[in-house]
Amino acid sequence: MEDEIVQKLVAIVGKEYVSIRQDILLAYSTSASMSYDTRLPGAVVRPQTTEQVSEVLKVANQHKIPVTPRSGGSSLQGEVIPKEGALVIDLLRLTEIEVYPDLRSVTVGAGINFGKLDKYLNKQDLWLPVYPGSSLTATIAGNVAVNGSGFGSSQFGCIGELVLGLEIVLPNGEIVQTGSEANPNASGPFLRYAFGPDLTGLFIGSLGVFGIITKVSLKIFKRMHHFDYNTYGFNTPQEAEKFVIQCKENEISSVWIAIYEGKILDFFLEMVGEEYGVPKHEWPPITVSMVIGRIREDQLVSDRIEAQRICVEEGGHVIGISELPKGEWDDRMRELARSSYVHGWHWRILYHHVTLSQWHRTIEEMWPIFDEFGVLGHTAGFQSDHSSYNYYPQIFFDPQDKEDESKARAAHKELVKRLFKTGAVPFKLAPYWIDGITEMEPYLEFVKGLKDAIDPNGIMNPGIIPGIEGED
Amino acid sequence: MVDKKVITELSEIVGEEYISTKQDVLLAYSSSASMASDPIIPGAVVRPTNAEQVSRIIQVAAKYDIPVTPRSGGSSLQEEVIPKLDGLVVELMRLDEIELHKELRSVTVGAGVTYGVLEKFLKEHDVFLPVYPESALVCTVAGNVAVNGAGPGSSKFGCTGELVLGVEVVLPDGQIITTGSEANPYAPGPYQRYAFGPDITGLFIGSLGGFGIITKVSMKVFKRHMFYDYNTFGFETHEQAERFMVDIKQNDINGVFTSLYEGPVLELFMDMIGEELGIPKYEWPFRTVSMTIGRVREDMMKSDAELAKKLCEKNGGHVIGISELPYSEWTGRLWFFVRACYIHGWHWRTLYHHQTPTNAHRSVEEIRDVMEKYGFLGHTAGFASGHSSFNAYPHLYFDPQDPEDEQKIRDAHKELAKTLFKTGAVPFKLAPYWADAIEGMDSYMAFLELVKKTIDSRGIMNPRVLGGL
Repeated sequence: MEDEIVQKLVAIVGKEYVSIRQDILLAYSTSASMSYDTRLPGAVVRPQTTEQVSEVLKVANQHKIPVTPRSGGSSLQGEVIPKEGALVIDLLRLTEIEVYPDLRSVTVGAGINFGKLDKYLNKQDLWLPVYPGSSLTATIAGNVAVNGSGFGSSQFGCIGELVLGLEIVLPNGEIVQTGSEANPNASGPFLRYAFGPDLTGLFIGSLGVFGIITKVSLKIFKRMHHFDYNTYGFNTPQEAEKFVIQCKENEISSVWIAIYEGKILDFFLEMVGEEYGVPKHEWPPITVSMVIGRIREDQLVSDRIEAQRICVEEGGHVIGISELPKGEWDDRMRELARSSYVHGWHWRILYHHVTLSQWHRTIEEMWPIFDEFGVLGHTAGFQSDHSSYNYYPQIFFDPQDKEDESKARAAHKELVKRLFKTGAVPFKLAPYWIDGITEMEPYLEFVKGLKDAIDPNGIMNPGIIPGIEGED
Repeated sequence: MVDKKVITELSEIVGEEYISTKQDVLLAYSSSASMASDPIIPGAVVRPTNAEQVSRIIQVAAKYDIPVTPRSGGSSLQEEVIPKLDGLVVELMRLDEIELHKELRSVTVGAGVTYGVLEKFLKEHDVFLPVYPESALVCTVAGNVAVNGAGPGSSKFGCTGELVLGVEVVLPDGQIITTGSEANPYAPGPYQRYAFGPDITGLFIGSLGGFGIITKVSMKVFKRHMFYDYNTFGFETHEQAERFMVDIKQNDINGVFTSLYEGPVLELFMDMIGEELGIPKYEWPFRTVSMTIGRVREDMMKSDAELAKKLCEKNGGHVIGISELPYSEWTGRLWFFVRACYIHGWHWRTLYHHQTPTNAHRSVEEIRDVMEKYGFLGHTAGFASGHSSFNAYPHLYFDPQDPEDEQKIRDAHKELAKTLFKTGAVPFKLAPYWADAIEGMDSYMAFLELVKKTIDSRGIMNPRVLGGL
């Protein structure tokens, strides 16, 4: 990066917090995203405040330098891989946490990860009850930017449902606060739907293309201390799907519901079964692993009885093995990450949502593609909101074997196309989804219009939602 | 006057029967339920029957630069559907489709479907859309989404915005887009709002039609509550009552409608409707919380009811035990408020806003101050409206025969918006008088203006709203 620009950045954040050293840049050329080509940025800057972020963006905008905002770097789909020569803005120094007990809300800086926040809120017997798979490194702001979900989403929804407002630095350096805090006199965040239209949504799942999220305000809740862990067996996917829908309908407070196909569960338990102390069992064709959480014990007892009633009513049986859901839940801040890495393979992932009633469709599409392309893989997932299911198929490959990796990439691409036709939807418009999407031109045009207006120089995370960008 | 050529083009789209320039018809569209606002005669009214017709209409309006005011039930109280002079009103009541997606726990309704019609339909399927605006019998779901509404049910389920899974919108250039999971044309129905991020659904929630016309909305629905508890709780300080409201939420008590009344305001209500509702005479305390608890299972309802009593006493209150008030509020949720607002025969201006629950008394204080200063009658009450907000609805009464009285109310109303803003209160949406009241939001307004100009470059979409952007 030109020295003139570097000097401007130094003037904003101090010498210590700008780097153009190759070894540093190398660290920012990649992320947890496997099977993505690394790209060296031109510089990394680490601001400490919103005002510094604003000043940095003004410089970038003036010189038309592409910018990639980054915090934990735990995203799996290339979200923070920079453009060659770009400026990475690392937000981990924005570490404020402010709790508003009366408002049942918290505001965190973009550098706060779920692990740190959980520790903090735990002391006050509160929690932010959605935990992404990589909670120990994923920041809340990053998770909002990728429209994430995780443990807890079965009851509390995707992270977007918990957002009360955002502080954003726009590409021109302007700082905008959304939600009730847009009123500078507000005592804190208490309502997202204020000053309608809701501008907050524009930045949820935005992958940083409209600006940089510097603070997030979220709903928090009294921590649950009463849990029930159980497994429920079914002979057909349809029975299991109905069971989960009925649990939702009947207000069972399920904080975690995972539906496992038999062979996937066997594979999963080979990895973590012993560690979780899950007894050997002849698992049925479909197993539902569920954690019910409640603030009050009598509610928990009621939910447990109701879940068992529904299970039998839908043709299933109560397995009674609690170690699986308990292992998953207790390990919620690292379980998904651990089980993804413990086998030592590399993989590409394809997050998506499907309806609960179509849970079986992803499985049906996935296995034939694996056969066609000659790749290994699996999928697991969890119930993620009012009526959706969050899937994360993984396609394995050997990183030493170029041919194997390109097979995985090709299978991944094809899976997108077929999943889209089943009615599945992505969390956000990641690049490989753009290829799979058809008949959505007016939608993409609309988002493109907004992108052009908000970021006329196209500096914000270019390439990350290619479908909404102008010609290069 | 809308040009004759334009009328011909519009009637080719919807048929002669569904367009009017007759003065008596236009008069009906010159005003709405909004009292103390000046009627404005539009140039024409058109009544399309589907999104394609709406799209073609918008294209004609864009071609001739005619301002467009979308309208459905017309029950809004803050001038949201008062047209521009000689503008075009697009009336959406003929978009009356309802499609239930039982397995997806969702419903899609056309912009002409009211809460009343939907409620009747959903009841047959044992589900409900559990937020009922105050004018539910005439108010449409789409209209309520456009105004960012709330109502009975919001104490548990939040503002209407929280229940939206996606919208179908006709943009100012005539393009039709669907947001949420239904943006995928292969989706079996609406099941996830946070799809294809960024979330653009939000842009249309509370947009007052400033970005386009909502032709369909998809909403979460829930299994109907079958078990209810109705109770009233008395407190001697506002802190006690407000603390109780927070504790109810924090302890997962399913208060579907939790209202907070100031003593004299409750007396006024009881004078009006107490007898009709069979509410026993009572010396109401300084603050009364009237709460309906709803659950799908009986044991859960009972558990909630018991805990609510304990939390009331823990906060220094006493259980009043009069159930008729919350019972009437909840069972009459489709009409109770409208009746209570009109039965006395006065006219009024309202000033909807949200407060934090622990700041509810500030709204009461501000309205009392402005009443004293200007010398008029009025009141305010409110209800818990989400995770931690409180929806207050001050009424400022006036005599419609007395222009001086009316002007006083308009002035007081304007001032109240300013003082409420300083207490940290927030509006649902940027109604015109809020634009005058807000301070220190320049970058927010500039951003909003940019979005407005981008989406509606000709400025034809409901130009009177969004603070006149």
